[in-house]
Amino acid sequence: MGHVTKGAPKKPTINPKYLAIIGVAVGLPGVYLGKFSPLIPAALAVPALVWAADAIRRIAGYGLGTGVPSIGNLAIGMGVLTALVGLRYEPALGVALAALWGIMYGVIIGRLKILEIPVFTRCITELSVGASVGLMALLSAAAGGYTVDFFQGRLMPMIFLTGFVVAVFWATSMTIFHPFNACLGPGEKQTRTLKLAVGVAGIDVTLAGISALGVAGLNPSIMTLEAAVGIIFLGAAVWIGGYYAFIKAAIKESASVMWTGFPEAKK
Amino acid sequence: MIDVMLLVLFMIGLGGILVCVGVFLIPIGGAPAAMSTATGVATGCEMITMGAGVTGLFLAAAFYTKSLMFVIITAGVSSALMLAITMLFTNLIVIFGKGVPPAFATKERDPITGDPIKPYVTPGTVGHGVPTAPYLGGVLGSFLAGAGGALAFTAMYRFSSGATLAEFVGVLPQPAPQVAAMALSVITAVGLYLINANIAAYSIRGVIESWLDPKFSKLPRVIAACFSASILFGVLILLVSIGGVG
Repeated sequence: MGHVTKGAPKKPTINPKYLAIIGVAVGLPGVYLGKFSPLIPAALAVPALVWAADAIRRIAGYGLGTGVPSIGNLAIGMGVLTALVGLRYEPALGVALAALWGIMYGVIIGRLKILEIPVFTRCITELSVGASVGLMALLSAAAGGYTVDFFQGRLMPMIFLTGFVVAVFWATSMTIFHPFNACLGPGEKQTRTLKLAVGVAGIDVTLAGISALGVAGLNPSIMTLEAAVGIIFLGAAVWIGGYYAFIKAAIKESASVMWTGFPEAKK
Repeated sequence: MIDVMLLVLFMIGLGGILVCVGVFLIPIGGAPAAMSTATGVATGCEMITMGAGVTGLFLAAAFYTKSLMFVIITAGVSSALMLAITMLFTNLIVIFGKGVPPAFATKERDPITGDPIKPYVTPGTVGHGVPTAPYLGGVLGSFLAGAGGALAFTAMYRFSSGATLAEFVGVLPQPAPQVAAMALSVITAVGLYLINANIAAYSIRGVIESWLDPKFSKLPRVIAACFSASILFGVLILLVSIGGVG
């Protein structure tokens, strides 16, 4: 049994740079590889979402004046607009716009002295890109993979008209803000928070799989039943695996409870 | 085409400003208000902004063919009604459930009614419930926020369904709604509300007592930030919905 050291500086054990590189380098090709099987973007969305959860972890430690969920919702608000541009024209363009617009938003907030946090611009850029890549991968997985004429032919009639987009939208928002919101406190550790992030990303993938099941029922030519069920099982496996690792880590790192006996009665 | 796009950008920017000014007028208490240790509605800034904006959005989506003025005013009234009922029930719970009178500590007397209000503040708190002056400010604020939400949504929907310049402010001659354009506009509008809500939330630091609060003087800077951020992300919305969808 380990014990929690209060007030110790929070040292990230995984460098955020590696998370960023893995998130983009895995998530963006995942969107393009969706034409082979929708399972690929569903699986490769997870690193980008975990990276965004790590960015929340770094920025929300400053005390923003509002809750942690608000910055997750900000990330998803920026992410959905850039992701839609990416899915309409070119996913790589969406990632570039997400980075550029994130920097410009950070500059506006900093210059007008709305919020003066040194890492704000950097973190908001990471959040914007992470949410954008994650949403692009999940939306393209739910609509049967990114192909030519994806936006008009598949995304609009299958995901937007049916309303599945709302489920994926809010679940992704929760994937980004929930891990740090649940784990924050003096004994917060990066590895434990990110294990929870993997688990919640599994919930998100499962929801995208349920949307894909609906798409398979509507139009079997773009989404097979097997692939939809495959996404659900994949998501459930990530969900259970992430939570299993998280609970194991939480038990290992929790403070030990000692039996000290009854206090002596006053005479 | 350029004139239509500029009009849409301007409408989105104006909608962002209205939402932001609305938030500054609504008495937001956050978590302290839920424990009756601060004046205001007991929820966070972002949820109230979303609530007011989405109420306006519902009305704007229901009256999608009507003229812009009608849509904005109806949406504002519906949003004001929503927040008025919320604040009324906040007061009912605070007065009859917890047994504390609505009060705030920033002023000696209520500026509207002239009643002494500071003596009723419980020591150790900064107020509780929603007194008359913040109540009226909240009704006006949610009117503005709902109108702004409706304005931004209407601009996005009419642009993505391919309206001409005259149809933006006048009646939209559509026999049936274009559902794909509406679904896309709802998602982009919600994204925009979230972006503006956060600027307002960060500048008020979570708690504000309507127009009586000293933080109200920050408003010009926040309006500039909201306008520029709305225009910035409005460009992306134009890119997504240009040329119609579905």
